[in-house]
Amino acid sequence: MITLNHYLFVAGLLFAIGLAGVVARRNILVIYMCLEMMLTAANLTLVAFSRFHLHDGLPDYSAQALVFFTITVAAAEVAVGLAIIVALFRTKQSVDVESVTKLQG
Amino acid sequence: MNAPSQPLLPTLILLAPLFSALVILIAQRSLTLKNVCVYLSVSSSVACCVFSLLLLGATDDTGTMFSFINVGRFQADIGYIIDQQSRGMLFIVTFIGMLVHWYSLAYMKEDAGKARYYGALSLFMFSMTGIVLANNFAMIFVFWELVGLSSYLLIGHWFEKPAACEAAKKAFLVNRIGDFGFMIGILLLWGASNGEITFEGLKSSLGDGHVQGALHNAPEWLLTAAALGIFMGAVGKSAQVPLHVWLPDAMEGPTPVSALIHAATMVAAGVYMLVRVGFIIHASETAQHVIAGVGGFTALFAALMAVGQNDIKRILAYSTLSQLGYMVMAVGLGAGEAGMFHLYTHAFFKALLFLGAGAVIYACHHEQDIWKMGGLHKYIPATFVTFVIGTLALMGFPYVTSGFYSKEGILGAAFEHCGWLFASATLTAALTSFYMTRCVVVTFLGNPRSDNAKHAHEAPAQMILPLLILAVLALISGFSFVTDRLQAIVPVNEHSSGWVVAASIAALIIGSGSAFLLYKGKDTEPLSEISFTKPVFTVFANKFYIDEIYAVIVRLFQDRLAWVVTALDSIFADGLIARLPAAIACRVGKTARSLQSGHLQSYTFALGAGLLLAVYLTVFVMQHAGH
Repeated sequence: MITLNHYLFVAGLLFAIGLAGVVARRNILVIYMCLEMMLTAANLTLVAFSRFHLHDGLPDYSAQALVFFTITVAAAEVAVGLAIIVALFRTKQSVDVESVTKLQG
Repeated sequence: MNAPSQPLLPTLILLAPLFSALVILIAQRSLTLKNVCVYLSVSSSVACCVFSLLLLGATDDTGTMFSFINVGRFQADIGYIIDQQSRGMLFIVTFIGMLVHWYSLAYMKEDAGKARYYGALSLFMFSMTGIVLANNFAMIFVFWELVGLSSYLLIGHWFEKPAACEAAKKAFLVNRIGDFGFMIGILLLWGASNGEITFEGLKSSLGDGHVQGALHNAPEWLLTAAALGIFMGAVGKSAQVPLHVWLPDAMEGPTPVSALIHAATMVAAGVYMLVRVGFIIHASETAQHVIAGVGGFTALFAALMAVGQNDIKRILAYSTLSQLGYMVMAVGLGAGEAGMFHLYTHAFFKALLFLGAGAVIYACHHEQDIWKMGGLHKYIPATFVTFVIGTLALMGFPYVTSGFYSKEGILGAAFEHCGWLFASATLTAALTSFYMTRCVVVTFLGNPRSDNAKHAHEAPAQMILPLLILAVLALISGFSFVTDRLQAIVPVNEHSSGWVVAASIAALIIGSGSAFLLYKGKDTEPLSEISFTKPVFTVFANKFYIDEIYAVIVRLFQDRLAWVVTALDSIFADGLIARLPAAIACRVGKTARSLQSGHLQSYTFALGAGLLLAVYLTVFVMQHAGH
């Protein structure tokens, strides 16, 4: 039997891999993709909970509606974030996140 | 106390010189106002003298002039006491002060800093009258220090001379040592009597039969310690051994200053204060013995040192030390009135001697070595006569001079109470006659020994007039028609034993006779030529090497003490309290700063870790509280 825990485990694994990527990778685009992966993990968790908490035999559609919200937000965030990355590239001429240390105190 | 009545005369006496001093403080640099300053100061001293003469007929009173400290239960005021002691002392202070101001008009005529000099003199008059009028310990201590300050300013008047600066510093520092003991004594009394610092309050607290307060139940050792502490103040101010070292050096100041401060008034303040608080001293036998012993020892010690001096002012300075020793000894023997009487007569003839020495120095163009003078009786007869009168009064010439009566009082007290002190005091009297006769013979008789002496001319009238006035007073101030008018304190028991009179006359004759025979017609010091007296004489002349001993002690202890204190300071005060917190703050700062790496991924990691911690706390720890 595939229970809720299996889905949650996979979602958690995805989240962990995404987090590791954000923390450990040097290319800013790769960091960005890992960030998306973390959002995907959240979506997966939401859908899993929707599927396994049944109301009168039917899935809880409110969670699935929330997924749409998160996808939209992710899209908007990607747009803005890529704009920032392009601006950053224009000044630094590099996509290496180590080159952005102006805030060092 | 009573309602603050603000009596006019004491307030005026106190404030007139202060006003003069403040005006001079502002105006002293100005070249045009210089003479204004001088005359302002002189007139303030005349005014003070007039007021104190008016006060001679007033009734006894005590009260407050100004409220000074008023904190909770503690009250220290600028108050006043008018009784026989303060009236008499006030007369002496203001009268001799007035004469000295007048004399200085001529003596300091060509001095460039005379405005500054008169300012310091006015400050001194203010401080001294404050001591005389004081009715509580706080006030007397404040004015005690002020008097020390005025003395510093006046000794160091010719500050271009390094010796004068050194002497001024020495006077102030040695006085401070005495004042430390004084303060301890005051604090002991203040604590033991539950907050009383007025003399009246302490006297009633100690208990005079009917009224008794907290002080009456104080343990013996406390009263002794307090009395000795207060005596330390007198040791410093009145230059008793071991704190006598500043007075001879204080002769670096102008001679009128020496006359006023270091002969007649300031150094007598110690004795005045001891008599004022005599009730505390009488409460402790030990303290009385110590005081009498120190006084007697100082008298003898100083007389020995005076024998070896060649500077006319130094001779008189050691003579002052010796006479102060007499006064302190009298207080210690319980004969405070005899001490005050001697203070009163001594003020006149010692001021006379100093002003006369000033006239001699002026005549000889600022030559002070007696072996370079000589034959002056021909050239400056008025000074000679008045100086001889002063000397006779100091030696206690029988029946004619005031010094005889006052010295007889002290010798009588010594005879009654302690044989050793009587013997020592008689020996001192003989030595006094010896060195004073030596001084007169070498300075005035014989032939001139230098050009300066040959061309000596009489001092101007402004300087001679005070000498004449003081000479008259030195002769008559022992008699009752004067002492009654001037409210002097005279011992009640006038009839002392025949032995005392005989001893004092014998000491006089032996001392002066031997000096006369030894020094007549000599041109160099004979005692330094005779082989068996030479080493003793050298010891006397070098003041028993006390200054050198003190210098060694200070150097030995001061360096070591400084090393220890520096070590303690750098470990504790500097290291533990200042540097350690600073180092900790730096280290914490550095660590916290390393969090600000500017590195995006570190921030992200920290965010993640913090989030994890928050989740853990919420889910697993708050189970006990929330759910």
